[in-house]
Amino acid sequence: MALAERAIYAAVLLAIGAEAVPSTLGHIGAAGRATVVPINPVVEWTVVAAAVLGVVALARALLAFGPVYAGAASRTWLLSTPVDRTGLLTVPLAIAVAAGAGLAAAIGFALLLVTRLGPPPVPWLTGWAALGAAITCGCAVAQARRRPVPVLRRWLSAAGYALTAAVLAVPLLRPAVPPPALGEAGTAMQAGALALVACAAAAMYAAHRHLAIMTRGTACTGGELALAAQVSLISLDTTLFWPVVTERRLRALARVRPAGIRGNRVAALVRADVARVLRMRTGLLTWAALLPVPYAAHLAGLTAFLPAIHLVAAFLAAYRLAGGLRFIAHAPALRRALGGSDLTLKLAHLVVPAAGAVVWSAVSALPAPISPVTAAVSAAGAVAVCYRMATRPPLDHTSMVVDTGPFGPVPPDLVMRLLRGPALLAVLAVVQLAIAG
Amino acid sequence: MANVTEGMPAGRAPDLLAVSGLCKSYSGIPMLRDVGFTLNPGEAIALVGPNGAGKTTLLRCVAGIEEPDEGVVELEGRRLRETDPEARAAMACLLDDFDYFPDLSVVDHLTLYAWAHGVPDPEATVEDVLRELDLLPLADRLPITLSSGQRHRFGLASCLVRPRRILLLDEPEQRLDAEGRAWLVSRLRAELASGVAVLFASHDRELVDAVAGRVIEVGS
Repeated sequence: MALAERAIYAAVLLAIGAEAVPSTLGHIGAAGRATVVPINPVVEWTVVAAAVLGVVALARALLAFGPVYAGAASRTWLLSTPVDRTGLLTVPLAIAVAAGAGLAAAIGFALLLVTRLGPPPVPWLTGWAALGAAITCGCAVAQARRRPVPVLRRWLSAAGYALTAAVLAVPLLRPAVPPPALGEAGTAMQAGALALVACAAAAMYAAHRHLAIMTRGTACTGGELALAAQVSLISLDTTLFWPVVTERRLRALARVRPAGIRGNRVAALVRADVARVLRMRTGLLTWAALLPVPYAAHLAGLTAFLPAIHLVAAFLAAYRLAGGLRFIAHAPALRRALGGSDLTLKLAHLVVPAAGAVVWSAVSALPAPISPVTAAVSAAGAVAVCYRMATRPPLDHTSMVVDTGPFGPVPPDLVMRLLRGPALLAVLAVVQLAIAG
Repeated sequence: MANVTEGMPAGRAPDLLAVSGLCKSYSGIPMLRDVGFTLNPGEAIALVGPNGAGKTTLLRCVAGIEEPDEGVVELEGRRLRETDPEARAAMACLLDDFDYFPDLSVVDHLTLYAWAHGVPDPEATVEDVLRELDLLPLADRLPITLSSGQRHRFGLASCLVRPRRILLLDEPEQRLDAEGRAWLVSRLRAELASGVAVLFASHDRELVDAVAGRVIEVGS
């Protein structure tokens, strides 16, 4: 029964894909370029930069998950028998390569849709898929050779940031110049795609050869993360996934300099929270990366929705700085150890996200047509939603289920908990739009 | 299942910690039945008994983490609530739910606890505790990178770096080597001498004999 259901879902998805992709490609091909609304070159360059970051993120994700991931049965064979490793791990490698190629092609497809690059779709997408396959195979070789993943990740990040900075420098220096149109570069594009396919083939050969030296240890480097991702996806609860990601990052960090905590009770708590944000810079980078979102939305012609977009982006930015609040809200032993009331502890850990929300709202409002009232509501709303989200009680998957008839069984308690925060955000977004009139 | 009641003399100042008529069951299976005792400054009570007898449950009820089915836990005559700042100021607990900020180092945690509890000379206190528990070489390490034994010592340090009137410890001897256990005995004796009350669960007969003034057999 479950298999039949899955088959129906898969058929529906395939049908949608089969309808949408050729139609979109045909549209693009007919016009010579993507038929999107007239778009600003700054936005186009930003999308190109996002694509570069997307490729880096793909490589980092592949390294985090393995990319060759052996299941429990395969791991047992690898550990306790002289099994043919190449034969055993060829299918996991093929799955990883397919996933890498598919995701890279998706990035290329998004570029095709959003920008006016207008390249011939087939070699363009082939090239992106080959790039994805080559990156996956490179990661598989690094995995088999036990290359230190943190070092590789640092190199990847550095290369990604350098490329992004180079891409973003163009619109800063020459704002009116769009990315070059590739519609006329058919032959060069085909040659490039062929070269990438050749690279991918060579990388696949190398990765396949390296399967023979895979050990149980190297083949299950991403096992914990894969399991956490699977469980989080099934249970709609990312609180199971992020601790594993954080743990891996912290294990790589291992030692840190003293945070310089001092002052009275509240000051010490706030200093510790600031130290945490500065140590885990991804949150701060995301906070900064979201700054141009309102301006980009304005340029993209979404001015009517700007107050709501500003609010949502303000929340996303501030929530990245609310790690301390999330943690203290879910760690009663820490609250006991720190002393004081729950409320004062939570409020002390709200200072950093609140400051982040205020600064973010003010700075991001400067280039876009956002009124001070809208910015103030965004800041206050972001803090309120952060608090609601961070202090959300753990999801209870054993709660009562109500049969809603056509929509099947629904657990109201689980839904209410999932909506704690997003519901307030939605209400505040409507309020923002109403205020802006 | 525990079934222990000790006499509580009337007509004097409230006990530092008073437990009376405590009952707790899980899914209809009784773990604690009518448990009662008092604990005063400088006293140590050891909870002993086989695995699953209810020692940890009793400690969790005393700390206010678990709500008992029946019975009362009082701190100086006031009903104890886990969220009460006064209870948190009085009790230093190392139970099975020990937790830490994953992105703060060992020394950051201890410094934060010391400042948060208003310790007069936080830096010196933190250094003393680190040295005493042989944690100085690990001071800049993130807790996730510590071994289980090192993490246990870190947990003990978290209790000792802050002011306390009651120490609640669940098997404090676990994962300590022989030298560590000897240190634990002397440290708990010093705590008692300075007027701190200690309630601990243990499987170590030597530790119990050396430290505890009274023993509660849980599950007998």
